[in-house]
Amino acid sequence: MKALKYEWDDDIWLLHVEVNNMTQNKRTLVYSRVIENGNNGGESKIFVKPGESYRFILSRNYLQERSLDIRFDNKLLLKIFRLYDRAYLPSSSDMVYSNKDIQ
Amino acid sequence: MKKLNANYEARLYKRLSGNKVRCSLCPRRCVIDDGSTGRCRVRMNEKGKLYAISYGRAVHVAEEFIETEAVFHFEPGSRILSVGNVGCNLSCVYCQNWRFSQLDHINENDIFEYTPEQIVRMALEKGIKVISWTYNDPAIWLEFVEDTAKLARRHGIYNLFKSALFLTPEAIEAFMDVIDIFSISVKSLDPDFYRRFTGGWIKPVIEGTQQIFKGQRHHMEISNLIVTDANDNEKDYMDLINWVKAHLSVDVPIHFVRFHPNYKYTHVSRPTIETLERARELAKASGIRHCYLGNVFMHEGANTYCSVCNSLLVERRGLNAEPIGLESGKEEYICRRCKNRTQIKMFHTEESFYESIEV
Repeated sequence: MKALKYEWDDDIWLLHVEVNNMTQNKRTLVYSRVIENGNNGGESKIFVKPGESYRFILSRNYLQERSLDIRFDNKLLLKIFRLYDRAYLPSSSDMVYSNKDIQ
Repeated sequence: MKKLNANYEARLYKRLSGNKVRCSLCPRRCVIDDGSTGRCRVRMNEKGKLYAISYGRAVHVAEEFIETEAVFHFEPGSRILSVGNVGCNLSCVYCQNWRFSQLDHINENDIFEYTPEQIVRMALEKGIKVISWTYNDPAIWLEFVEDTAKLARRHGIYNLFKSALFLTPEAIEAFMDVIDIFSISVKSLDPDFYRRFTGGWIKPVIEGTQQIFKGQRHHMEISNLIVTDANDNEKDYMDLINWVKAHLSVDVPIHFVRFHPNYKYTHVSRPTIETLERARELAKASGIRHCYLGNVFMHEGANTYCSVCNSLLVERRGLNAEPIGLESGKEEYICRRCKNRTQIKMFHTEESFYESIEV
């Protein structure tokens, strides 16, 4: 699995997360919210079927929420886009992370 | 713009002499020469036939929440499948999605091709019950919206239309046949605002909104993007509030939405939260039952309160909606405390709403 920590900032509280599964097998992405006191809000698991490109929105849901921990299958292609508004549609220029940025 | 292999003949146009056509989708009613497009640049005349050349050309679909679309009174917290297209029949100088609405700025890497069947299948596979036509104005790909929405409805999926509604009455009628939820962006009640900032004009927007409201068949919410130094003043707020009261209803929710500087309108800062709060105060004092703040993180102005007993019905944090004070009624939720009908709609539960067909 690859791992990424996304730190929220004051201006951006919405993201689009896109995962692309070019393989023949179902793949997974897991995220959890990191709250100020070190707790997390539990894990959410996303399944991406073979050949699927799936994009979903994630919002910061608590004032005390500091970051998101995202782990995903090595074979998945991941892109993260920042949203400036809730109805904002990000373009390639709003991409802040992709696989090449992540160990 | 690249044309698809298949040609999709547009709807709502008339053939004229000399291989010209007149498009009747939007109030411009462009007369288009052979080989040319209308002002929106996604409807092209070829040898006297009008083609919808953006049919199926979409941005990446995304799973979002119904609150994303300024819809707070229809099954709160519902997941939606958001689908957007390219181009627009307006050219707002502050457009938030100008990289897709204004064709000269599109990066082809951001564009995908979908069929109606793919969209509906995706919604069904994910268990999503609302398809949202959004981002750029969905008005300009009528044909794809109609085809997909009809198919979606046969599977019990609702259709949400987020639009500035710069459309002809006949186009609105066509959308009314396939859309369940209208989230309408009324930018201002000032005709001069439309002329200065949008490239359109106000009359069709006002008349179209009233046309849908009078139909009494659709869920409707109104949003108003508050733009710094453009419509962020009490006269503009009151004009909108009074128009909603006079021509729609005090029960139609209003969303005052915070703009962020973008496209050609970057010389100003975002409006302050106090600015939006003032608009909401005026709406509440004027009798509007539900008024919300949009694009404001963690604010009680995003919550829904009972209009009778004022208890908290829906608490919203980020895009998370907790319907903590609601109980299921027949077609709408009721307040858990005072049992008032909240006018917050529920999904249909009758089996007859669905048809079992293959996609």
